[in-house]
Amino acid sequence: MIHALATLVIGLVIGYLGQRSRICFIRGISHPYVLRDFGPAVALAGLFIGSLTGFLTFGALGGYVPGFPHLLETPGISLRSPMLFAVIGGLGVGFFSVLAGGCPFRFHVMAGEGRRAAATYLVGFYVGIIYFSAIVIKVLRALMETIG
Amino acid sequence: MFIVAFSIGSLAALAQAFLGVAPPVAYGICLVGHPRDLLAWITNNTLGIGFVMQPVSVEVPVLTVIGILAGSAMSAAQHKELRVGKVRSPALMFVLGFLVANFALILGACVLRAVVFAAYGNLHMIIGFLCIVTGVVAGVEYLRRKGSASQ
Repeated sequence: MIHALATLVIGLVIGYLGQRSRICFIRGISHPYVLRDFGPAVALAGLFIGSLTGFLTFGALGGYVPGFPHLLETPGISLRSPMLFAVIGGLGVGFFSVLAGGCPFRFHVMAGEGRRAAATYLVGFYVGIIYFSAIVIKVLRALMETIG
Repeated sequence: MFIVAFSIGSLAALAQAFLGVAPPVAYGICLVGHPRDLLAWITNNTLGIGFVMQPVSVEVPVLTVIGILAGSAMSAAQHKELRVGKVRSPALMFVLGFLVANFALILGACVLRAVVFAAYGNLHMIIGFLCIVTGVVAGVEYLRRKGSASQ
């Protein structure tokens, strides 16, 4: 139960911060490439450093951070299907997020602001999640059994 | 912006380390996994379907998405920035949302979680993040060529 309340409160905080800062992690990649504007990329660096610092600090304080850092002991590390899924998934997320104009976090924040375009994107996003859960996951399982 | 992003990363680590948002690891904040868990929990409990969800959400689902929507709405209302705007091509936005969700679930993470998971040292996600960067570059080039062709 505590995790549900925790995620609700964390969501409130990052939703508020995201609306004030207009942070977008796809813009953090595209702006340096297109405009040579490295300002938005600071968000990616901040997220990485914040996570790393958090895992190191909370791990030292006795928090639950099993197997950190994964590196060469990454669970299920394989050059077959897990890596294939990472490559296909990553390329697709990057490509279609640029066409949409932002990352899923930014679209959730914009939907909270009341923007209809973001709400339309989120309807497609949630239908996509249900479609994946109902159909795509079965295809991926069959693929994993085939290629290992 | 650095401080906001640093705070988000720290909160993701805190959620896992002390607030029970695990397993899986590096799952403190995920904008595709958490809504998937919430939708799966609702459909499983109302329609009796066995959609897959992460172990953390089996009893009670994670509510990050509801928090983000509410937090953003509160901030926008407080600063008088609530705005509806126009949707130029709703069908395209719907399809792009659909595609991003499916590719993110194939990857196993949204962009935010990919960075948090990469910070956890997960090699699959480091590769995944590099592929996100490649995909963004490909998308930008596609838009450039489409723009120059239409001129």
